Amino acid sequence: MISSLAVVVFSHQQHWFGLESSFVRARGLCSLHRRNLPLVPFSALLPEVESDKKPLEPKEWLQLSAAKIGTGAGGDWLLGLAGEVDLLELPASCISILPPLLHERRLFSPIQALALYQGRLITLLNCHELAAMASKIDLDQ
Amino acid sequence: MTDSQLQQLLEERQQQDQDIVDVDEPVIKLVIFDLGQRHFAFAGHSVQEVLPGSEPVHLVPGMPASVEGVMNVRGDIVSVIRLHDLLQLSTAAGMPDKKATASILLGQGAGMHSGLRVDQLLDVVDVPESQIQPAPESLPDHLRPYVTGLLDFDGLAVTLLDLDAIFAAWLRGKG
Repeated sequence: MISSLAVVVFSHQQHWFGLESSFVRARGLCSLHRRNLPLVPFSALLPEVESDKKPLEPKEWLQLSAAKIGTGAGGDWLLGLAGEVDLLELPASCISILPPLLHERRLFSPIQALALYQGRLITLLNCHELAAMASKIDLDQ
Repeated sequence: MTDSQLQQLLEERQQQDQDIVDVDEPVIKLVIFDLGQRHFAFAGHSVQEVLPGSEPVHLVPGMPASVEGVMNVRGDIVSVIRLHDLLQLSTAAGMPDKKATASILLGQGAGMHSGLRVDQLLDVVDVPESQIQPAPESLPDHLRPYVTGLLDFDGLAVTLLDLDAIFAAWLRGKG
């Protein structure tokens, strides 16, 4: 029985998101080192959270592994992040499935689950879905 | 009119007796509430619990505007939605659904459950089924799929809503 889940969490416009850490291969600063992989800013993927706010330039990247991306070495790609990044061990008891009504109506298909941890809501994302979205954006550009 | 106070008292008592509900008549429990400056009700079996509107609700990004967020109900994460768009109700006048009297109804229907933000809980009552009138022909088209009847409750015109139909419509992308 799984008692906890290692999750890389990041903030974006006052919201917290999480990715299962086993999908995250590396982390780095955009200013220092940019691997030869496609970089997609998270702000380009998420529907406008708060439309009055200008998207921020990514400061960091996470190298994510996903077979569906189809571009870059080994299907890896870089997710560009403008906010804080951290690694958490989330107790399984904090993690909930997405309520069915929200699952049906979500505008952002990678949303997979929710976690309430230390008073804050963390929206857990499906890495494969995120990669699929990223690959479309990359191809469109 | 009579000048005998006793007679008058007896007449009043007789009138009161006539007003007493026949206990054998089938009754339905209703949860009556205000929403968007109108009065509505759900059948009691559709509402599991009524929570204070002040309970913290966490915004979930990437959701339609009718999703207020999620709340923690004894360890379970439960969605909280607004029905204003679906029922074409006004949310003007300084977000009345956020006022101190607001409540969150935990509703269940169409095989699922969710919190529903209402402006004010008015009452939870048992009402004789005979007092519920069928929905009139003049009902606006946007309400017709969700209304099961009308009720006069203490002089208020209350519209009875079918939560199964509301959840089903909401899932189809309405509201």
